Amino acid sequence: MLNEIKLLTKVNICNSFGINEARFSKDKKKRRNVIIYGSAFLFLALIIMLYTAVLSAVLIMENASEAVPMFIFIIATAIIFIFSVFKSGRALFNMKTYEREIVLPVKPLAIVISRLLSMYIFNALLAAIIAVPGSIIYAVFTAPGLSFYITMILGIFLIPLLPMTIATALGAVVLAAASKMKHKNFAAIILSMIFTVLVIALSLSFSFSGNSIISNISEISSAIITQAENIYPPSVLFYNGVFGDAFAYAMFAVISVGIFAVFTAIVQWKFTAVCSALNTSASKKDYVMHELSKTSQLKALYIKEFRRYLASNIYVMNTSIGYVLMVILSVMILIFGAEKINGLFGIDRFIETAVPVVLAFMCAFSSTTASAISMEGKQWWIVKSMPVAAKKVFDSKILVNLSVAFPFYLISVIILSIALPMSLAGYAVLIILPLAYIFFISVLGITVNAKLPLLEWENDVMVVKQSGAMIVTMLIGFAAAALPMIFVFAFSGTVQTLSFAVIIAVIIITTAVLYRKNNRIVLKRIE
Amino acid sequence: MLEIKNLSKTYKGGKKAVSNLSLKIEKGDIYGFIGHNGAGKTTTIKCICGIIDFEEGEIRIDGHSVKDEPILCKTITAYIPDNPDLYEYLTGIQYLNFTADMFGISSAERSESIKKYADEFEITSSLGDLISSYSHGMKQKLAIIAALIHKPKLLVLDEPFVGLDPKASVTLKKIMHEMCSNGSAIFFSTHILDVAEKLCTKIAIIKDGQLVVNGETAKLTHGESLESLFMEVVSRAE
Repeated sequence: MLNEIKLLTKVNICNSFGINEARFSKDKKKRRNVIIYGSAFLFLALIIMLYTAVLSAVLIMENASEAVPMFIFIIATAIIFIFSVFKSGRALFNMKTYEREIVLPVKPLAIVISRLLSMYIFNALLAAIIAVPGSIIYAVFTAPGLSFYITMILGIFLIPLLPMTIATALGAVVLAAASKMKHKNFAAIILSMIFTVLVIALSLSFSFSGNSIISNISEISSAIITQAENIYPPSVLFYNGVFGDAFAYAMFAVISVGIFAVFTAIVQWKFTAVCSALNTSASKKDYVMHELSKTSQLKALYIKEFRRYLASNIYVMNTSIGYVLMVILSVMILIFGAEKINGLFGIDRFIETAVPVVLAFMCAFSSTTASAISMEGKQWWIVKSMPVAAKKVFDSKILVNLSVAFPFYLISVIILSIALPMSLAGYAVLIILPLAYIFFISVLGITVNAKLPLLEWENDVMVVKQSGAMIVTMLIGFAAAALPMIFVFAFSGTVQTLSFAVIIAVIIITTAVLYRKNNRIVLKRIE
Repeated sequence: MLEIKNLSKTYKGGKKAVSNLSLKIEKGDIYGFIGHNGAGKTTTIKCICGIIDFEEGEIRIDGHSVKDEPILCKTITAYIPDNPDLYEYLTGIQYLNFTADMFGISSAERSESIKKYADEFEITSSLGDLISSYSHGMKQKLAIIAALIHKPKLLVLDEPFVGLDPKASVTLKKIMHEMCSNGSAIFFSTHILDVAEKLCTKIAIIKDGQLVVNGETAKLTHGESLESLFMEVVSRAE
């Protein structure tokens, strides 16, 4: 069975990251796309490495060096959880590859292990990216004993197990529950959304709890450790283990490996049943012809596009999370009040100034359009063979993102208008700035996806979570939204308002230029 | 109806799929396009239907250039691919209604066409089900109905009989004859030489992207089977 697992894992990995395309494709464009995707991933990895290295150095300089291993542990756990949640369930119960693999003379257990192993390899790599820079900084400054090196290296392999299992279990529970319901995708979307809101609300309630406010810099170390202990108890076992408690570390290892093994056994037990249930569509065969109504091309495309959107829970979850966060943040501001939050940061009227920028930031990384062309997949021929201009096809995709964003945007703006007393100019910025970014990211997503299409895929996770277009759009969105952040801290009063006006103008002009450029794209060249 | 002049298509990576291909398909023709796997049939068909771009040559549909007037050309053309990858998240009727909207077909006209063809292919009762629940053959039938809704002047099919049950194959052949009697033209690729021999008024044989032979079926076969002709011209071209 070991050989079967090895072969299946190898195929999974080659399939996930376009490795084979980079190695064997004669199409320069496809190879270039893989290189762009790889570069974007490398860039993200560098940012994460830089982030952990700098923060570890800051902790050491603030005499909180003992908090560094805990900090590394929490960041690695959180990032692995975020990367895995809801994606892993889809990847684990991927129906298309299931059909291909289940007919092979291999046991379901080999298929399950190979899928989990593929995810584990990626997550262990992620853990290494996070742990190595911080650990080096820590080692250079504090010269720890041999046990530190052993526990941190072992940690790279142990840390991913629990967050990955929890995230995959959440995704699996959602899919398993949805598979029993009539409208599987819709049920999966609702359940995923409930889980996400619960997780965010839970973590925010910890962050906003009175005990966590750090009034003195010397409290950083104990605050990090206490907070981590509250949110994620296994962190204490790891932390104590790194500082010499071999029993605690052994307990951490046993718990991590044990829970992962139990989860694998449970998945293996129900694997075929869940895959089959997810793979079955109800067929009623009771349709009776009736009069059909005619609609415009744009409306027909829009309706089709929206149905496509709702048919994939991972697509919905990945592209609406920024907007959900936007509403949660607005509600939190309404509940806790501006004064308490300003007090947390120690800056007068901070939240009033920062909120439009934060909303813009959240809008800038949620775009359905960044994968809207790729999501057409093998059905892309349909639109290409129809008598329709590229503009209408792209407009329908942009309209879907606007339809998703607009209700969240509207709710957030209304709540914040009630929660925060602002000047007229402040209200104008609150309304216009996020709106400009919603239009910008919608149009930018089309531009990037048309340049980096991924039409050959077997699992929507590959498009929504791992495609080059999605990552490049997100990075550009981040960079564009980071721009007004500078002005929040650099200026105040009229100069600040004027700066926002300039940014809004730049974003609107860029959006208009990209929109015109997009509409000149020849659909048949996107392949 | 369809005129292909010196069409050449090279894929990225340097593979020349079609080389200097010229063909003329008149109204009323049922034109069979025959060749082995990888000969360039699907590439030619995709170039005609505006699905992929081509570097050299010209394709005209009813006098209009595919390059210069793509939307006009697509309005009068219908395409059925070899593998019916349809929108699985739509029901059959939603897909047909979507197609009718894209071609601007009136409510009455689309209802009449869909009812007629869905009854003929015996899938009316399944039109309310998601396409993801359809078998390969049912998807193929749905793709055919979608292609016929706007009464195309040129119907382009890629291996249309693969996956169809015998009754549906007969129905499709009957529809093809009806369309040609009404002045449309049909261009289709096939591997099934018996079907091509009985159905096609004209045939073209392609090998390694180059046209080997074309003309009226009866004149080319001289009373021999199409299979013999195919084997002869292909081996001669080697």
